[in-house]
Amino acid sequence: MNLETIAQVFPFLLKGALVTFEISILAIVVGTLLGFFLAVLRLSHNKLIRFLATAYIWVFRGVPILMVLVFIYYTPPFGITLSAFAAGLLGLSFNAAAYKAEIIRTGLLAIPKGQIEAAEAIGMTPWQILIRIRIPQIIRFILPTYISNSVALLKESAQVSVITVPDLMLNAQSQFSSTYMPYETLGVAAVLYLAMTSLLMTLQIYTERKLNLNAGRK
Amino acid sequence: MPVLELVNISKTFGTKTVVQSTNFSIQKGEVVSIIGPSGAGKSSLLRMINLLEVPSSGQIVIDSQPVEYKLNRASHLTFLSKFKLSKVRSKVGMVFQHFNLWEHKSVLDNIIEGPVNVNKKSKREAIRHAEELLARVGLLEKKDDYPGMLSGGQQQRVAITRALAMEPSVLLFDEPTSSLDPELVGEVLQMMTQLAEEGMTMIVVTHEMRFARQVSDRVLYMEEGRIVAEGTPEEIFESKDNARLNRFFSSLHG
Ligand SMILES: Nc1ncnc2c1ncn2[C@@H]1O[C@H](COP(=O)(O)OP(=O)(O)OP(=O)(O)O)[C@@H](O)[C@H]1O
Ligand SMILES: [Mg+2]
Repeated sequence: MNLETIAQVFPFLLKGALVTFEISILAIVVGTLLGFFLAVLRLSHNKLIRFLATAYIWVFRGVPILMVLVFIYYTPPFGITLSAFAAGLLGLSFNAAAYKAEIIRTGLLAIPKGQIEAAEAIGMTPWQILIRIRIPQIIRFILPTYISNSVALLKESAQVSVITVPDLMLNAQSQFSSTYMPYETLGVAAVLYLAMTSLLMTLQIYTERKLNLNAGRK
Repeated sequence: MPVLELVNISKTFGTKTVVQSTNFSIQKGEVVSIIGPSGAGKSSLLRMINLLEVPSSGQIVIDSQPVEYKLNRASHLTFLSKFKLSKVRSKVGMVFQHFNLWEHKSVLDNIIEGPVNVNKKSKREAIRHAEELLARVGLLEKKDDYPGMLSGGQQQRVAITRALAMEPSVLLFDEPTSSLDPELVGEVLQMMTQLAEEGMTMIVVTHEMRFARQVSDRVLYMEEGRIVAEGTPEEIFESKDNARLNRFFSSLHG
């Protein structure tokens, strides 16, 4: 271990880590919102809407992220040019949405129907039921799967380095190429990845406590 | 003046008619039991009162106000109607066979949910009222427990308390004791009897013949989507000349 090299490359790695964190968290947020929307559409009474949502999920779960990223970055439609970061964020979000939609859908289906009826019977409006009954119950139910998926997304975000987003992976690689010291560059980057994924897992434990996930179980 | 009136209410599922042009009304303070064989349409009738089931035709009148709503092409309530029904539904309390307490909320939070969010009571006032109601049924020390930690009988009494906290004009019960262990049925029936004595307007779908007989002012007997007999408990339980009733009662003992 050469501490001097570590001190020298660390600022670059940290900068990359921030980009990784930023693009992953944004993709998780956008993917969750879009995924929620897709999940609701998949449960629609309208056949066409249901089909379109299912088709979206099918495509984005079945095609490599890398391919989506390259497509969006190099061949955006209507003559738009996207920055590498924007293209990376879009690609990750589109992909995340497909997975989040499936996770959220299982959550929507898992809510006992009677609990929704009880809320309707008491006169709660659809919004109140969504915010106060459905979403908290969905979170309770899907949290472990949701966080695992988010951890996976953060790791897979390394693929945006291929379309030149200066993330942790790209910076670690370029530092490695110029130093040829794997432990001081890639090794440290691995530790940074681990730190970020651990943060997400800690969030899971915290939320489980906060939501009293085990309450109501004998 | 009736608290609630159903005029010519029908319900069909596909081609199957489960409630056939039925008329019904209930006066303030009255307790009506609905009995009948499985599949007679008792739950369907009850659930139409607060639009958990949408009538295929007919009119519902609550506190002299016709209930207005619109349906979409799939015969579901429109989004807007769901908002507009909030007020009506807040006046009609409902107690379910499976309690349907919100598992992610404590007993107290289950009870104040409606008063605070629907009736727009202050949280402090809602808590005070909830605690008073809980104390009356001896469940005050359970207020911070979650539903899953309670017995079925306790859960149902909390569910009844949740409905009462809304100060409804009428309380609907759909087989409130059917999913309870036999030894827990008594505490729930006792609470309902007490409510009846205090003058609560109640419609109770039940298989508890003793309750129907002793507590109700009026008993309806339903079969194949119709009310085929109606009268005081004596008239229903002591009639010997109604073949359908006789068949039903003997099926209970057999
Ligand atoms: N959502 C539905 N779709 C189709 N048929 C239904 C639906 N709900 C109820 N039914 C049918 O309507 C009929 C009446 O049902 P309902 O639940 O009202 O009967 P019930 O008198 O409450 O019976 P039980 O004593 O078993 O609860 C039954 O034949 C039932 O199968
Ligand atoms: Mg029933």
